[in-house]
This record gives sequence, structure tokens and C-alpha cells, in this order.
Amino acid sequence: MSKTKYRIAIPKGALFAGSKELLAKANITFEDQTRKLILETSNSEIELLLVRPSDVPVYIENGAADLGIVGSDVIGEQEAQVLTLTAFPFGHCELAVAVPAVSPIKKISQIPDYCKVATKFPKLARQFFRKQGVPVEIIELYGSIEIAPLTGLSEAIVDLVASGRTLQENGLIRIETISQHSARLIANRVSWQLDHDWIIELLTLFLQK
Amino acid sequence: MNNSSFLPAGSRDLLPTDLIKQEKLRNALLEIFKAWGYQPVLPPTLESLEALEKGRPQFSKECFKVIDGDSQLLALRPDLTLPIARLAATRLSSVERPLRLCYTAQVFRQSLHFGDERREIFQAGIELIGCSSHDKPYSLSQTNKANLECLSVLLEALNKINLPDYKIVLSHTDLWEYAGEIFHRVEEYLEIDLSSEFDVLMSKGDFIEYQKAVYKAEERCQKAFKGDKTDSELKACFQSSSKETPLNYLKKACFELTGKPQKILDYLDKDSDLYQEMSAIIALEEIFGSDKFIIDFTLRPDSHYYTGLYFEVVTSGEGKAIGKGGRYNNLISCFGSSEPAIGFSLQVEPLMKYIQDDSIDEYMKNKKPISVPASSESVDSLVQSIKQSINLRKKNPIVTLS
Repeated sequence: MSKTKYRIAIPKGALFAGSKELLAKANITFEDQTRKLILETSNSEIELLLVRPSDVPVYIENGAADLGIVGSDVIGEQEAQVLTLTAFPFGHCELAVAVPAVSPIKKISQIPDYCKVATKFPKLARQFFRKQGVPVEIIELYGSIEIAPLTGLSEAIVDLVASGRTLQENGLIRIETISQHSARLIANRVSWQLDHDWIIELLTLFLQK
Repeated sequence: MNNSSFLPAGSRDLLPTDLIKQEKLRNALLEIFKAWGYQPVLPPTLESLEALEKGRPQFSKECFKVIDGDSQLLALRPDLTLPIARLAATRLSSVERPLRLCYTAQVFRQSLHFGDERREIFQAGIELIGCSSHDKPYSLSQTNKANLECLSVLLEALNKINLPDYKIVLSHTDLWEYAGEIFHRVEEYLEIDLSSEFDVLMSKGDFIEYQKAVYKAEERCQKAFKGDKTDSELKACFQSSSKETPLNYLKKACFELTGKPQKILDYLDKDSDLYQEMSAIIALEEIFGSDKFIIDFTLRPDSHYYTGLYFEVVTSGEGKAIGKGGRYNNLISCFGSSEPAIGFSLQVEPLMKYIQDDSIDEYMKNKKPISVPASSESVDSLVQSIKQSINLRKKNPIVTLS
């Protein structure tokens, strides 16, 4: 399908509110009380795609959208072939290793060999434990990671932590921070080349104080 | 068992209409290549893995490997430039230069990224190898001559197949070396190689990491200057530039090195070879129109055999480049003596979308078969029918037995 408008992919979930605010800075507003997934905006040249966070780089890499807003955790996990243009001061969180509060494991050096680790971020988790020199068994899940150790599916988890409340409410404690993350603006390389002036103009508006 | 699992991931069957389309496209491209004096060649499907790795070490990860009866490690060719470079340096080494060769053929690659990406890729392209002047084959004027010929063939080919709204995106591996020259003294002082560090970061397309590296370099420079008051010359080099400090400039560079050619050329020193080479290419606008080129110096080739001009073909309908090419002056010497070379390859399959369907219908109509009744009941009448059909084929393109 050919594109008639500029397209920006924005993530549902944690980064949605921040993305909406950011777009407002560039005078791009939209009606979000709808079930539509392609949203018209106040700017007739621009439409928004409302997609799952992990799908944002896919749309960008294949040119189905020109720009995307997504967490650096997703970019790191997927190693998508996109341009990462800038970082935004929202969506701050940390990728961390957590275990049940009652676990004998109190720090990362106590993780036993072949420990089962549940995560949505298998690549980043594997990288981390490989660096530590600890062989672990990664169990890939798509959501509700916190219940994995509570049900005996795993002994530890690697997940994003923002306020830490979810961990606390599920009886988990963080034993190590792997990396820090926040929102990023990514672009398709061909869009960057063909619509360069538009992207730079928008970027300037996004970054104004 | 599900029948569809017999087809390996990333593979496809080409059906009759696909093949008619593909043949039409390949013939249109070959016609242009041949009209410019390029002669078709076809290297073998299996190459020695060792030869491929000589030109591009990453190939060992990307190509499909095969072991022959003598335990030799072979690979399905992942590229045509490399085998043609080998051919040029060996069997064709004494043929008159420049060597003008073209091809349409498949290459085989396994993506390191997604399993379902196409593994068998149809390409069409040219290679322009060597130069008639034995004096200064690597001089700017010889480089310009070959660059302009190669890009003109490409532009004519794209026009011929009516590819809509395409652009040639130009880049050059010297830009970062050129930026590096500005910092040469700073680099020597700090014993770091800024240009290659930035080059690597740029090739990943991560501008945040890139800018972090510039900040880090700036910090190190400032620290170094604090402790050293004597080397005023060095200090001057770091701080003075016509507009701003070089490091300050580098910080913004990732956002400013993409756009319309004239704007980007303004950033370059008019006396530099890089400026001369790029502006010579832009002079082709006089023939092909003023909207065909974009410069994007943040574009880095993924093959390290490119040694200068690098370009990609993009169109607004496709999220990825559909063709690429550039100069590879060091590749031929991997297999023989050194000589300059340049070439490009186009991906045939994404281009097929742009071949009009009605032209296929017309093709089919022109080749509408005539049918000769043939009875299976008697051998005699069957033989008569075949005899009749052979006669009819002298005047009609397609005659079938019914």
C-alpha cells in the first residue's frame, strides 16, 4: 500500500501518554477515545498508527511508518535496522533482575548455574548473564512476568521496573540493574532521506523546551 | 504433514506470470546495459568460501555453505561483484580495459535477522573494471569518468523500466576520513582515532551513541588542553574554524549531512577531492533532471569493500533500498593486480511491482495458443495431428495439442 501521508507509529501502554504530550508540542493533537488504530490528527499531512510497543520498530524498519516513538529497551532487544534520532525525557525505566523476597538469592553473584529466568527480553537477558559468565535458562514470556517465580515457573525474572510497585506487590525484590531506558525517536532510513526536511522540522519542535 | 512445510523459509516458486514479468524486466535492463557496451557474464553458483571471505569476511556468516566430496568448503554465491572481481583479475586479466560486464542472476543469503526474509535474490547489475589510461588509473579525472558512466547507466535503466519517484542516494566513504583530517592533530595528541569510531557509530544509525562519543571526545580534548599551555597551535586547531569548533560541528553533523545535493556540498571544502567528485556527479542533473540525487553522508555501506563513492536506489513505495553500488578499488587486488572498479546491482523482485499488468495481458494475448485436435484413440491420427502442429508452428508462436 502506498503512503499518502506522513506516518508516525506510537506505542500503546506506558509510553502512550508521554507520546501524546510530545506530539502536542508539535501541534499534533488527536482524538484517542476511539477504537481506531489509524488516527487522523489535527495536521492533515500526518496520521498516527497505534501499535504494540514491540511492533513499532517493525513498522519503521519496513517503511510502513516514517517515524516511531519507542523505548530503548525494545530497540536493544530487537536490533532493528532503523535510525535512532534522539532520546526523550520520558518513559524512564530500568531493566532489572528480580527474585522473590523469600529467595535465598540476595545478589547477582548468588545466582546458581542453569537458574531459570523468565523474561520478555530474552536477547538482553542472555547478553547480561553471558557477561556475568553464568549459564542460565531463559524462559520467554509475553506478559505478567512477575507471576513466573510465584508459580515455580522460574527462580528469577528480568523485567522493566519503573516505580517498583508491581515488584513489591508481587513479593519480588530487585537484586541488580542491567540497563536504563527511556523513550526514543526512530526513523526509517528511506524516509530520513526522502522526507528529511519534514523530519528535522518535527524533531526541532519535539526538542523545544 | 502439512504440504506447505516442504518449501523452506525464505524461498518461493516462480509461476508462469511471475517468470514472464521477470523476463521482461531483466530484458529491459540488459538491453540498456548492452547498449552501453556491457557484456553479460555468469559466474558459477558455487564459489570457494575462502575466495569470498577474502573480499568480505562477513560473507562467512551470511552465505549458505556446502561441503564437496574433497571436503572443500564452498558457498552459494552471496554476491556477484566478488566473483566478477575474481574473474576480472584472473581469466580476463589480459583483456582490454575498461572491462564492461553485466549480469542478471540469483544470489543466496541467509539473513541474520529474520528467518523468513528472501534467501534467493534476483539481481541485475553492471561492473566497470579498470581504465584505459595506464598513467593514473586512480586520478580524480579517471574516477569521475567511471562514476558518471556507471550512474548514467543506472539512471537510464531506471527510466527505462518507469520506476516512479526514485532517487539515487549518494554517500562517500571519504567523508569521515575528511572529517578526521580536521581532527588529525587532536587525534594524534589524544592517541585516538576519532574518524573510525564515528564511522562505526554512524553505520549503526544510532545518533544518540554517536553524539555521546563526540561529547566524550570533547571532554578529553578539554582536559588535555587544560594541562598544556605550550601547544598553542594545537589549541588553535581545536577551537578555530570558519564557523564553529570542529567538535561542535561534528555533534550536529548527523542531522545536517542529509538532503538536497547543493545544500550538503556547501559544507565541503571546494578544493577537496571529495567536493570535486561529488559535484561532478551532480552535473548529471543536466541530463537526468534536478530531482534525481540526494546526498546522505550518514549512509554507510554494509560491505567494507567499498572505497569511495557509495550509493543506493530508493523509492517512496519501498521502505528499503532496492539497489546499491559504489567504488571498490581494493577488491580486484585480492585476486590479482590492483585496478579501480565501480558497479551497481538492482534487486529484480521489488522492481517487478512496477511492471504494468496490462503489458503482461498483451503479451499473453499475442502468444495466444492455437489448438490442434489430437485424438488419443489412434496412433495414426495422433501422428497426423503432431505433423500438422509442426507445420502450424512455422507461422504461429504457440500451437498446442488438445
